[in-house]
Amino acid sequence: MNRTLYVWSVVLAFALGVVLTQTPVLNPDALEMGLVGQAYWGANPLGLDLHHYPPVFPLLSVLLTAALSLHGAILMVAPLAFSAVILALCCLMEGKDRWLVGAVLLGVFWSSPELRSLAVSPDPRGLQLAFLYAGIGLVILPFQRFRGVSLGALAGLLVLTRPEGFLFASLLLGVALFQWKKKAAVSIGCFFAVVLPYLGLVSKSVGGVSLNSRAWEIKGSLLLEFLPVRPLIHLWGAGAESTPFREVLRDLGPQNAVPQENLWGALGAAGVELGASLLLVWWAAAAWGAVLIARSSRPLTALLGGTIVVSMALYWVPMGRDLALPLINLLPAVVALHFLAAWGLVDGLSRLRSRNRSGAFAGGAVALMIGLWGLHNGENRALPESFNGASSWMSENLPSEAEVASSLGSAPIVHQSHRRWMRIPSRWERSVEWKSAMNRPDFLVLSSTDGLWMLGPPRLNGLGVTVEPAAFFRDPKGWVLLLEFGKQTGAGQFNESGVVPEELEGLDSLQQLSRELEEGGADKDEAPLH
Amino acid sequence: MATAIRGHLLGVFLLLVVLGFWANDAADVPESQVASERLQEDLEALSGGSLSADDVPALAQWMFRDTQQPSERRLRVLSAAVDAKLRHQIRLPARAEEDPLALLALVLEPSFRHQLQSNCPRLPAAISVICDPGEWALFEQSVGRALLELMDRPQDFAAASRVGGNDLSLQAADALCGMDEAGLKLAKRQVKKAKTERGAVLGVLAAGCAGDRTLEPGLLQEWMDHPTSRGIRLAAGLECAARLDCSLPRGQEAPKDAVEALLQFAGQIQEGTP
Repeated sequence: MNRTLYVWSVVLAFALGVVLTQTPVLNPDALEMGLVGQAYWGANPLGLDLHHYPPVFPLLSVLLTAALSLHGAILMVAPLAFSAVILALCCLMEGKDRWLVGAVLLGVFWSSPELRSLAVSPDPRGLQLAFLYAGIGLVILPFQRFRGVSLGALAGLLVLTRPEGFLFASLLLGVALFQWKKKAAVSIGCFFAVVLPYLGLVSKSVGGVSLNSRAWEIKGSLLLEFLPVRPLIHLWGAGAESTPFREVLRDLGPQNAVPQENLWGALGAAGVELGASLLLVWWAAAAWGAVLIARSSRPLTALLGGTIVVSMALYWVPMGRDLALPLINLLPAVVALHFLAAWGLVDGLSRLRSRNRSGAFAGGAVALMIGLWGLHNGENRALPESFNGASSWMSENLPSEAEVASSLGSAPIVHQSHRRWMRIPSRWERSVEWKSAMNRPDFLVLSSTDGLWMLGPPRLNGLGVTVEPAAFFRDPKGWVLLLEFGKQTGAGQFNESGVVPEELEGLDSLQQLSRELEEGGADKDEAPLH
Repeated sequence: MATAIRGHLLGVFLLLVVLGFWANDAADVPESQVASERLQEDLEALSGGSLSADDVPALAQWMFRDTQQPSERRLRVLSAAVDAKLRHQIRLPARAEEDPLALLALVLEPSFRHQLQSNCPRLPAAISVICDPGEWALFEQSVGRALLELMDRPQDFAAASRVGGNDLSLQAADALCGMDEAGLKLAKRQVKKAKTERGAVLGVLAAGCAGDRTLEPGLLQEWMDHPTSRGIRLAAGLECAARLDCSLPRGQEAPKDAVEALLQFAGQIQEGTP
């Protein structure tokens, strides 16, 4: 009972620490996955592509809607998954000094901005981490009842959580096969029992044998060589909202090769990001932890090393790289590094304890304080407050039947206002798709997540309708601009060629502008002389 | 064993209760934030000069694009009318008394510049260079060169570019779309002389502007038949797909609309054409 109490104390402390100090972020992909989950059970008014997202996150979120609102259910998945990761890691460190393990594990994991942020940001990667590290626990820890079946199920769930789950599942099953020999057949059988029905459904949906519901993305990424990324992704659509272009990509036969980046460049970039993910103060401990684990447990070395290698390998394909969130696909490796640091630190402090008990406890307390400092003062990646303001305002002021278009990134603003969301078509399709007033939304939402680039070149494709600002929200972190489609004018409102606006009303304003500029109101930093 | 199971069940229960309460609370949008709408307030503050355009760049850029806005308002936001990331990448040859950012905006927005030029020479020193054709041509050329250089920059890979990003080369191409004939000339030059294939592709995008710019007959066809560059053929195909008056090659039936044309085009990707 003591052990159970200790483990759950650490898990609950971790969960409380992050939920009480970090601001949750309702990310658009997760929100859409919640809608996909609802669509499994009932209507699918948005016409979402149900097999676009692997099913575990949608199903789990819709399960939680039995007790919570959809948004609440989606938010709850993130800390729940991370608590499971901490539970698994706590169990892996069984046998060491419990107080030290608790203090160090909390300190090291709370100190990471990425892990803190993901612990309150719903994302299937959190579930992937939970399944992966629970699987590592099953392989490494001494005999547990039903562990063969459990490992197979967890490996299957990895595949049903993220497309790259196959790689991590193979790692788990490979090490289990090496360790357990013939007994691993149960795990492998169970894995296929979980995965094959899903793959069958995916293959049926895409009309051919497929291991990945997003294979079209790999085919389309060949175009990355030629086209700018943003319009290209806009063309094939983000999320589960399908586009004609995506449908065609899906219908194409299998590609000979997945586009790859320079191997050493990709590994170098991943290495740099991983290097920066761990606080400098933990690096020595991580190195010591790696040495200890390499000496004491080959399976654990293989699993942690394999996790790091697989994560880094994802940088080799363009879809694995994300400049905005460079660590997002390296998270399994980030957790592995933090675990190594915790392992090394606990070992070091345990050795110290045999000579200087109070020094060891002070060391544990310092580690915990570093984590608490991170929780309290660290960077918080919450969405701008103006996003919530815009949602509230829209729910109060827009007609309930209003259709609002936005990018996927800004979709949570629309969904939270309970208005019908539409995607903004690509720049090449917009002039056709929005030509008819029937197909056009009533409003457009642009936010600092998108920038005005979302509309493409300045003229809004000469749709021949007025588009007027209806509301504007801002705060120090971002902004939201709500635009309303107005009446048909026969010509686009925005700077059509040859359209000269009203006559200039005198030069008073110009003179005033001149005075302001002379007074230094304008930025002259970039003004070298002729 | 049974005690441990009971302990674990209790732990799970406590965790679910704590996180459930938290999630329920966090999912609500606070009522107090309803009143934060500030369109009119900010527009008036911009007009009155009490708010800097750099504090509200999105609104400022939108106002500058909007020809229905009073000229005074558009003038007020002139220095912030170009996206900060783009304008900070372009070195501008301006004199001390001139406002290079305002001049940059006037290069990228010719219709407003023509409007102002009708008042020459009674313009403030900050933008008076637009009244001197020789000097102005030099300034325009340097901006044009800078934009073309930006279009030749390699793009950064970013799977989540859908949530924003910072592709300056694309911004430069989009800027050419607002520049009327001068923009078209620059775009054509880029198609011919780009240092990279991707730069040439951006040239095609900047020339066609997603079906927005009328191109001389045969130009897209010429690009779609480009002998060496698959990228130019591909981008020209996309531009063609966005136009009702253009049909894709290879003797296919004329598409009914741009979406259908796009489908035809996409179908050729794997075959190695366009």
